[in-house]
Formats: sequence, structure tokens, C-alpha cells
Amino acid sequence: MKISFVLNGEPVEIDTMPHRRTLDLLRESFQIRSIYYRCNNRGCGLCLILLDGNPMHSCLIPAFELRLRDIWTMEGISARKEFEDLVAGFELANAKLCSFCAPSRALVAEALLKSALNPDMKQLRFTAEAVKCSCNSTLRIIDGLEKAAEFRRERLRVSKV
Amino acid sequence: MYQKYNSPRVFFPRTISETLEMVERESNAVFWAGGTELSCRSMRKDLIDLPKTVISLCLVEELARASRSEYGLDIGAMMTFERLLRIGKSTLPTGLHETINSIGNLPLRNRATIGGHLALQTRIGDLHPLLELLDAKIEIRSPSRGGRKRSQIKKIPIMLLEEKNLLNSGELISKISIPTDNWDIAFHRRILPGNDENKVLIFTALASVEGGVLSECRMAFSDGCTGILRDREIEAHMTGQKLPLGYRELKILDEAIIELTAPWKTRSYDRKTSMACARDFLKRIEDNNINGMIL
Repeated sequence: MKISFVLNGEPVEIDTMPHRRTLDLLRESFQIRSIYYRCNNRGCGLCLILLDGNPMHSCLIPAFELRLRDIWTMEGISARKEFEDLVAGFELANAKLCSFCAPSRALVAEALLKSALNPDMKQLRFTAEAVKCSCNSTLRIIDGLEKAAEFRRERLRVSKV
Repeated sequence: MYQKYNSPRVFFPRTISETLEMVERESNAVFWAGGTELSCRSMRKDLIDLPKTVISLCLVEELARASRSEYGLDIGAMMTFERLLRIGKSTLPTGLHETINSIGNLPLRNRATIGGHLALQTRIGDLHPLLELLDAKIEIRSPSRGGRKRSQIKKIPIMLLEEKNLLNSGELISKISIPTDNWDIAFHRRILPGNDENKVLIFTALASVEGGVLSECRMAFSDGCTGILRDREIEAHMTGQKLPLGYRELKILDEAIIELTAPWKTRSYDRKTSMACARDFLKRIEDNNINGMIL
């Protein structure tokens, strides 16, 4: 099955099995190394991608669902200028993310800041809990997200409501 | 390397009628909404075990809309949980926002759809009891009739797993209509001892209070696999009771729950937890009910 989609801003096309896991497809055919298969479909969140702007588990998405969709991974968003807000926010909160969860945390944080520049506590908590990794406490991750939101507001010159 | 596996056939209809035509032609086809259940069950590392023929509903826009109707709120079956949450707590029927928030995590809610949740064949989801209490109706479309068939969400007594299936082969849940009656309190508990999915207990309740009197109260219990238990007699008995409930009323309630959960003979833990949940619910009502006003 021929599937065309947009990967990190570039239109791509591939001939593959429709039931191939997106995780496997991206890792093997597009050399996307920031996503990991760890939990046997238990929702650990280490394989997150942004599908049309929403964070989703790439291990649960069959390839046929990618048709005409917009996909972003860490490789894509880290090349953007706004990525600096996330790095600065987590650094300021002293949240030193491990190499496994950092890409997924960055993606889910980016999705949050795209939808809400003034995220409330519930949104922050859900974002922090989207990735199950014990390298940092949830409170520290929430702090990092809040600070990243501050940097993003500053960049866009939006004041806090 | 992948050619050794048999590849499933995938269809992408754009309208409901196109979908029904396809399922009529391909009688063994399976609808694909969010696909969370099928994907999670698949144990292969590189491939997701799919049926031979799949009808993906991702392009059917009619199924992904929500609108107001005279009955209440009509929710398309392909609405994902996160999109439903974005509608806003004040617009959604009482309890729906909190219950959806308790399901899975953010990435999972981005994929899981309300129609897929209701069509689960292997277990009863968290929303089933709430939708039963809210008198929700699901609209099922079947290819043979070509038209619409409205059926109430069934109250399912303890019965064999096969018998509780809402859907026949080829039938499609198109929308869920939920009355937007105002309830003062919604209460949802999902108890999962030892994180064992086979021992789940779901308790859902709704209540309205007027002048310190319980004006309406509904409760549903589920063990997540055999059915939803609801006792309308005890609900009727509790209606009109002054708050806080007296010792006698509480005893009647406990006895009714023991009788109601009698089919869970081997699960005494769940029966006791059910009673505790009901007490918790009443306590919540009483805590919120100060000077006869719900806060």
C-alpha cells in the first residue's frame, strides 16, 4: 500500500504493509531514532509522535492511518526556534530529563503550548503524566512546563491571564 | 521482509452510506475507529494484528461531529475523548467530563473514540454505566435496513458475555444522544485492586438535591465484564429522603446493594466495596449540601 504523508514538514511517500506499526515504520524506513518500543502497548509514552498536532502513541497506529496526515517527531521540532523555550523551561526547573523520555516530553509539551499559552493545573498534570518515566518527579516536570510556557509567552509577547 | 505476511485490505469510505455499502459487500469487514483496543491487544512488535478486511472510519466526517438536538447532545461515534473534553465541562452532560478524564492518559484519549468505547466486545467501559444513568440513546445503522434504528442503551443483567453484545455484525454506531438534564452531583469511581483488569469495579451515581431533600438519585454498579447492575426500586425509595440519611435508610440501602450484587458471589471484596462506594457518594452529597443548598 502506498502511503503519503508529511513528516517533520517534508512530504514523503512509502510503499509498505498497512498494518505495520508507525513506530517501526518511522524507525526503520525514516531513521527516526527518538521513539522507542518499550512497554508492549501499555502506554509508557516513549513512542509519542504528534499526529496532526496531537500527541499519540506511534506503537498503536497502523501505517494506513498516516495517509495525508501531518507527523512531527523530536527530530523535526528540535530544529524549530520555539524548541529553545522548552529547553530553557526544563533547565530552569532543574528537570534533567533522561534520554528515553526527553523526546516524548518535548513533543507533548509542544502540543500543550500550541493549544494553551496559559495552561491550567489540570492540563499541566495530564501533560506530565502522558509519559511514564521516573527520571523526574511529576511536580518538577509540571514546574518545567510552567516555565516553558512563560518563555513561550515572552517569545510571543503574550501576557499571563 | 514484510511480504511473507498476508496484508489486510483497508477501505476508506467518506460517508456513512458509503460505509454501509462497503460492509454489505465485505461481510467480514471490521470497522476501525480509534483502534486502541485492537492495537493494544496485538502482541507483534512490528505489525498490528488486523482482521483481513478493515473499514477505516477516519474520513467519515459525519461521524466526528457533535451537535445540539431536541433530545440533548448528539455526539458522533468518531469523536475522540479529547475532542469531547474540548467541548467544555458546562456544555457536556453532568459527569461526562470527569468520567472521560479518568479514562487512560492524554495520548490514549487523543485516539480513543466514544463509539469504539461503546462497541467494546470484551469488557464494559467506564462510560457505559454513566450513559445508562443519563438515559443516553445510541443510534445504530445497519446495512440491511439502509435506514436508522434507534435503540436505548440496554440495561444488561448478569448474563453470558456473548449475550451482552449491543451490535450485530455489520452494524455501525453512528451517534450517541445524551439528554442534558441538570444533575447536582455526579460520582464516578473505578476501583482496580492490584491493577488487575479482571477485578475492576465501576461505580457511577447521579443525584439532585432540592431544599435538603434528595429529589432524584441513580446508581449503577459494574464489574467491567458481566453487565451493569441497577436497582430502580432502591433509587425510588431514596428519592424524597431528607439529608443526611438516617440509620434505617442506610441499612435498607446496604441490604439492597447486597441483594443487587448477589451474582458476584465469589467477589465479596467487590460487594463490600460497592457498599462503601455508595456510602461515599452519599457523604459527598451531604458534604455539598449545607443549609439545604447544593454548593
